[in-house]
Amino acid sequence: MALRVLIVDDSRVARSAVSRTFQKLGCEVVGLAADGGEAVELYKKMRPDFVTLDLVMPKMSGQETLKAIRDFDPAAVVIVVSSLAMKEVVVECVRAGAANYLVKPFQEEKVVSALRKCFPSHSRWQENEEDAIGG
Amino acid sequence: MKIEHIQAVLDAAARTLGEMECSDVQLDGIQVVDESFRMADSSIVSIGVNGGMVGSLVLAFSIRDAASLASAVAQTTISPDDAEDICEGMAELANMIASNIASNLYGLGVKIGITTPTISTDPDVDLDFLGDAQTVLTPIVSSRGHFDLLLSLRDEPAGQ
Repeated sequence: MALRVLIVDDSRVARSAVSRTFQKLGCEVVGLAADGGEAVELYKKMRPDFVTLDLVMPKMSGQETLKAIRDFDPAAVVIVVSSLAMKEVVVECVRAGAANYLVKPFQEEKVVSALRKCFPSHSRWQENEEDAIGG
Repeated sequence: MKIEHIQAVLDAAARTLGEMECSDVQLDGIQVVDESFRMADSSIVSIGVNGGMVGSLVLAFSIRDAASLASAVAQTTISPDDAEDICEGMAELANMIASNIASNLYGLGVKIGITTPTISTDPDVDLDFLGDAQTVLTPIVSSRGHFDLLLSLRDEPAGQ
């Protein structure tokens, strides 16, 4: 069964690009949220397998959104997708409960690596290596 | 602005474009501009900078020439006639460049925050930068298109 993902980013272009990346890897995009409030509501409604979350957003920051989702569901898998690469920011997100951190623009193999770490026993990774990276 | 800070900005722009598979990235010189600078026939994306340095970062571009760059950002083909999507793509590019700048400056001991991008398509816009900040302009050329990068920053003393 395909992994179900909720994409959160205030940029329409970024939502589209991130969606395309994960769809190419066989994921199903179950929701697109433009801000933190919408993200929390969609998470409660759709209960995705994981969330991709931008950090720099108006009204409700990515860190605040991460906390709100994790407060609702402590088991929530949230992958931060951001252009910010400072170690301090990455550590802060991981301490707040982020499962992984991808720096934009990212390469497909890094996305695959992140998904493997988050879902090591998913049937997707039981296929051979070539299939797993869409080859 | 210190020369190492300007270099950090230019490195960030070049690296961002390189990671988007834009080849032949060239920074076509640096020029200091007046505090009130008029951009003709350009759309702009501006990002505010705060924290250890204060000011703004601006990308100025023509819609038609930016279509390929915006397409690279969006990972899909955007028509040169689709001004809205082109501007959104350039806004995301500006966001990535600004974030890379923040990372580079962090490595130099300067912590900054950035705002979300603001798009303006006014065909004849005046850009009023900080009066006491130096404003520099760098034309950036790549295989996927070109734009002007304007940077107006001043150091913010600690505690302010």
